[in-house]
Amino acid sequence: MRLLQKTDNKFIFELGFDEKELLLEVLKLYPVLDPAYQKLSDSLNEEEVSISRNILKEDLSEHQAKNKQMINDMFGEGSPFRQDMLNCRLELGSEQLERLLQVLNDIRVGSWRKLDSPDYGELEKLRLEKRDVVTIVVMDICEYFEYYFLDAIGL
Amino acid sequence: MKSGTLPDKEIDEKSRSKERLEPGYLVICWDDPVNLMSYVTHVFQVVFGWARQKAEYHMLQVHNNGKSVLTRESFERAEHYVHQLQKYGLQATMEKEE
Repeated sequence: MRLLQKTDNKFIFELGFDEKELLLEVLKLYPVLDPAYQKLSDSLNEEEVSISRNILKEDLSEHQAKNKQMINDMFGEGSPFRQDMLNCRLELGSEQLERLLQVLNDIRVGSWRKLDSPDYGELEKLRLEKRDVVTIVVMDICEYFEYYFLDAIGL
Repeated sequence: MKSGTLPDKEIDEKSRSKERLEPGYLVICWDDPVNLMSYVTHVFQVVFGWARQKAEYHMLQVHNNGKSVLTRESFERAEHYVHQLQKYGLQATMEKEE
């Protein structure tokens, strides 16, 4: 995968066919992050945060639903992929790129939560012991695309 | 009840409302082993409108110190920022300033 062209509001990436399939497969998993897992505060008492926590949960659920719809619209009819014999091109607007980053990160963080939030060492141990391979591979695929997208926006 | 005095509950609610309007709430981002450093920088830039340098400074604080206090706000604004950060998958909380 590589960035072919970048303008103020448009990014064009070149992908191999395998990369395209990986991206489409991993996006099907969205959303993974449970909206109920986020906490609002460690120190504020229950009375102070209970309403906020419920709003947060609803807010995150709505946000995920909007992103899911965007993904469905984006990769349904009028797909952003163009392809020839050798490669695919993925053309994204800034807003689409931003949403894709959020979606990939949701899948990555949600997968990490599924593994019981392992720290750096525990994650490597799981990798070496080949446990939870599918979840770890999903995280790796998301990380791969996130790197390219972040690189495209100059990070 | 003497005239001119407020019931305890009313006083509590008034003082709590006043407290909530004051910038005594810290928005804190916590380290985790999953969010990419460049992603965290990007999120800080988007959510707070910070320049790259400031966003990177706070990202490195999170990475090196385990957390960074990002801003001090009223209850509602702190809540808003925590919601925004969490939408991006970051581990963020709001805490009352001691």
